[in-house]
Amino acid sequence: MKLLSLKCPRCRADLEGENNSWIFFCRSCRIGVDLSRGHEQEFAYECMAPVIQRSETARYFVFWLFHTRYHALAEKEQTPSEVCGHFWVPAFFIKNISYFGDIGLYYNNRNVTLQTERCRKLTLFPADRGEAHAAIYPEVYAVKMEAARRRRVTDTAILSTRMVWVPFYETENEFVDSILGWSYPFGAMV
Amino acid sequence: MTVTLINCVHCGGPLPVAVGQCICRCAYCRNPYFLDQGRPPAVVLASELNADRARTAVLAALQDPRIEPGFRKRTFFERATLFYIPFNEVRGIKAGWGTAEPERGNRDSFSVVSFEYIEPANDLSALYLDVLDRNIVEAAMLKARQVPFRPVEMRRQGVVLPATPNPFSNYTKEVPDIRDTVESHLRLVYLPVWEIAYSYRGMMFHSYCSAVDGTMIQVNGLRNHRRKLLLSLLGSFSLALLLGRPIRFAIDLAGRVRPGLIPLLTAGLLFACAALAWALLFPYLWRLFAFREEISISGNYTSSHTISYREGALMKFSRRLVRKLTGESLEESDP
Repeated sequence: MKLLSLKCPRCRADLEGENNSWIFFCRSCRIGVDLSRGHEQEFAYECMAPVIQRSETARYFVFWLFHTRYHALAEKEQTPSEVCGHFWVPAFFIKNISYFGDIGLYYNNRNVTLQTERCRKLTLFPADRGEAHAAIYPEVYAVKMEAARRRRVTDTAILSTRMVWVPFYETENEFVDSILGWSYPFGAMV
Repeated sequence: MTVTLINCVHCGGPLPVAVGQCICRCAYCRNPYFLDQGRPPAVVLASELNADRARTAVLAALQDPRIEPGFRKRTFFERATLFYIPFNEVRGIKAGWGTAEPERGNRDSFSVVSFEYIEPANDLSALYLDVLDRNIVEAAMLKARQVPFRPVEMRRQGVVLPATPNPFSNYTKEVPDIRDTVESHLRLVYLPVWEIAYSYRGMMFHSYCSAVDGTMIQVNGLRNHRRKLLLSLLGSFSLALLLGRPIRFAIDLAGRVRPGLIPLLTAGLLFACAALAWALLFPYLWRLFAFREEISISGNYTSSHTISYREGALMKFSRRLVRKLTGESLEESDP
């Protein structure tokens, strides 16, 4: 049993987070501290600029953006080709992905690129999927994407990891994505 | 039993940590801490029902026709206790080829499916999952999403049941090209449950009610034998109506063959019917007057077992019947 201090390693201010989260944030230093690997790991976060503007109140949802490199091999080819890509993985749980779809997979399929803006004073949705738990998803997404091109994936490696806050609009009974405009009912978010 | 004391690193003061609590703050120097217990964080579903509302829910559930009619009126409530029952919530992702090897090139054959299920975290939650429909627990969890953690409420009001320390984790790779991955991350979910204890003629009963939305998990009471007896009488009457015509036809047929056999056959049939009726009714009558049965109702599942034997109940009943018939007073004989 370890006792880790919830103070910012840079400015010693209190970190922001819920009981069921693995990642805690310092808004003044603009860093996220990930505790999922058993020790403090700092990530500088960036805020995504919304593509769709709406009047409802917004909330930030945390995503992992993995820069990944892998080798893809077609059936009739001998030498695999090297592919580099970015994969979005939500840092929060979504219930029943089969019904509502994985938001990260949608972003990857639509080739959403990172467009940052200055961070706003919005509340934060608890981020309870640490980097240790999210790192298995880039390989799964890569296999899924390359399967459409009839290629097999080998030697997946994560080159860099970034943390991105994406605003979601909160309506009466659902969250609306500010990038693609798709809605997810409250029961789907965990 | 191992006792772990957690003290603040800065001032040495004791840290108030409840079960399932991951973040805490020192009461003296106000330093915040994250308690890494080597397992994923816990989620405590907030109790939306107070004890009075839980009692009202139990009273409404005791109106079930399977429970004895006078049971609800003569029930005296003893106490209400809030329990937190732990469950392990397992979430995972399964990715792989859905079809055989020759069709692997097909883009639709590869699938990524997410799934989740609930695992028991101790013996009691295992019992609950066996008895209950899992949908009751899952529906309660679904309703109580995004509820803030309330460690003070847990410490003051509830009894927190211990959970097994080792979380479930699995990773399988069945065939080289077919992968089945179960994500090891899971949460410990504490479901608050009200236990309402009440007494009826000196016997204690317990009912369990979900404190999240008031769903009755289990209702215990005395079994309504009279209803079953009435139903069996109605059933036998309708059976006799159905069988009346064939019996009459058989008697007519026998009368044509030998007229002297009619009274004998009729007497025999009546005797057989009476014996059958007695054989059918005797167990119910015996149970009605001699035994008490506790009935447990949870959803559509019902179980009953004998809880007490009323000593000499049949003798008392027969004595009272005789006195009623003879006109003797009841008061002088009872000590």
